[in-house]
Amino acid sequence: MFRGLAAIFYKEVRHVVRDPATFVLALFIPIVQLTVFGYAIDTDVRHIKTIVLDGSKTAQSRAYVESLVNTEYFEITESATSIDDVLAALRSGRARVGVVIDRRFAESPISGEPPRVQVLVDGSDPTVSTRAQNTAMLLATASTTPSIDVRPRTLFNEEGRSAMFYVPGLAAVIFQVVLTMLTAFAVVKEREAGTLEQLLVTPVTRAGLMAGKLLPFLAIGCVAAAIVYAAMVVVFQVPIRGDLGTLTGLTLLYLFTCLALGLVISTFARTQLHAMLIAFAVMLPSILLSGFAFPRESMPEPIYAFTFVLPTTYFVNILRGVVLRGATFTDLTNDVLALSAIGVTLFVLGTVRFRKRLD
Amino acid sequence: MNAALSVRSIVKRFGAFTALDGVSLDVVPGSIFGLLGPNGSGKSTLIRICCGSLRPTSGQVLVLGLDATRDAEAVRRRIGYMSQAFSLYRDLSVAENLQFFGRVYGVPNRDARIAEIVERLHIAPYRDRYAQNLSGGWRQRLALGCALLHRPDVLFLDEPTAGIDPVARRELWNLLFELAADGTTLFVTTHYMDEAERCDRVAYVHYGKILVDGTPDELKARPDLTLPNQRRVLVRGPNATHVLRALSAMKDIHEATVFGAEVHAVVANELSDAELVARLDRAGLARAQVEGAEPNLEDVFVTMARRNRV
Repeated sequence: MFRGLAAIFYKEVRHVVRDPATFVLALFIPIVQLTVFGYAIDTDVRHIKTIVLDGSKTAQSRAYVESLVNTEYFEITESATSIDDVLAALRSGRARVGVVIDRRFAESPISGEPPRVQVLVDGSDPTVSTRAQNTAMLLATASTTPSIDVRPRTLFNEEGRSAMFYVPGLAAVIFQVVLTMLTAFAVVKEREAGTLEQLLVTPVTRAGLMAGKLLPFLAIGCVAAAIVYAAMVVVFQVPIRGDLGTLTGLTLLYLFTCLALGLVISTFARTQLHAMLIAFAVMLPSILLSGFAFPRESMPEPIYAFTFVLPTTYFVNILRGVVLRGATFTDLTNDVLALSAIGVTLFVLGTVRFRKRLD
Repeated sequence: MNAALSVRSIVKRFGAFTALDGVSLDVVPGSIFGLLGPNGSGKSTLIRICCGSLRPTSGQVLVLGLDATRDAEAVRRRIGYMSQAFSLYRDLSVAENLQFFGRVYGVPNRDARIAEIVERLHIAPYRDRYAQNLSGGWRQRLALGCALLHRPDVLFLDEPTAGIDPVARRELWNLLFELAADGTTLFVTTHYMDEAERCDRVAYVHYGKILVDGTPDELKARPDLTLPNQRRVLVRGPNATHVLRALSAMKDIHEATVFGAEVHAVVANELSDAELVARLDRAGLARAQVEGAEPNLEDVFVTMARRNRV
């Protein structure tokens, strides 16, 4: 029944010995990823980006803000001059929490009312919003004299449904997994089939070849995206609050970026197996570090910095922004610029790396 | 000299291995140049360098006066290439492959040109068949068609007839002659002597070096092929294998090879035809005929290769 098993086993061992890259990839990737994710994933959120609108501007209000910072859960990244600033910061994802301190914060004890603070929490990430709410409330009860009347309100995801948080992020991740794989084989496949040899002597240009390989998949990606968004709205009851045109444009940008990433992988890989292993090495961090499931804010500094080169990081925020917070193009300028830069860089890199030669 | 292809002192190393070691040759426009040599002697490497797919370590290739490395893109537009291994898209039909290459090269009046090629190569019955389902001969025809679509001035063919049947081989050569007659320059590698005989000029490459280069007639007339104290004879007997066995056991026989029903041998000058017939008779091979012979192309290549054996 198992005749030939030993022969196949030895043959496969020889393949691996003769092809050290496969060996190295197969060993290294799981080890590296296990190490990275073991440290990175932490649901205890700290350093939540917070924007403060200090209407009081008194020693008391500053002391209150100080006490928020001392909890380590909040990190003041901006101060606002109007409530519109606060809302804009929340919509763009620059801040997760807005602390609005009442104009009469310092005078309140005299009038008999407790000092009032409104805490606006971005509900598109429940882990962050729950932590922010709880901490703000805790601080209010813990502070002795004068007691503060804190009124938290969760925006965008009032019911705190986790589908609102997970589904758009999941969409971003699914696009990446599928599309990057599609183009990761593009060049390697030709190399393996021997057809590259004939293609090289034709006048086809490098960019022509790359774009030609990318565009059909972009079309396929658009169809896939339409289906995923439809499922998001119909099945998961996540309404798209933003503009459909904005959503379409930014989705195209992201799909392009994922495909360009695949092309870059394809120019590095010598065989389809290498391509697949490299693609996995790139995808897992995109899934786990992009903020899709775990708040990036709680990651150790070097890994947090690394999340800024992942296209998925920006698209997770863009998608949550447009779908959940009704963010406009202007609200998301920074994410859009970063994603465009990454997409163009990857495409250029893929083109430059591809040589019209066999050696 | 206005050569269509001029290879000048090409050296190509892959790591420590030297594939081509100072190869030079010239090909006259509109002629058929045949390159022969054992497997691994650097024939494909040379063609790939000419097509700009590989960069030479040193030396220069001029195709139609253009540097094959520096002006690779300009060269590619004017050459056709048929690689040794089938390198078209197996999951595309004959017509789809032709359309693909027609588009890549930007062939004007593409459909008309494809129809012309289909007609010329007689591949109409296979138009809609997937390339992977074609037999070797038809695959080669399709590959030639794809390489010809853009009317290249120089055509590189890397063992175009390897592994195809004799009829397909003859038909392919007829097509090559037509192309040469139309003014296309052809550079062909092969292992077949009869194909070498059909070339205007042939060269033999051995361990990365050109051993001989000339017209078939020039090569066969080389005075250095047979040493002064030896001569070539042709032996006909009832059974060539028995003749070969008998000759191999004799003194004064330097070389013996079977060609069909005949045996070609290099013998010592002192050994006369009559003496050889007598010896064969004693060895049990009556009625053997012996006559003096001229070397053929294979004799040329075998002799030169043995003399240069490392």
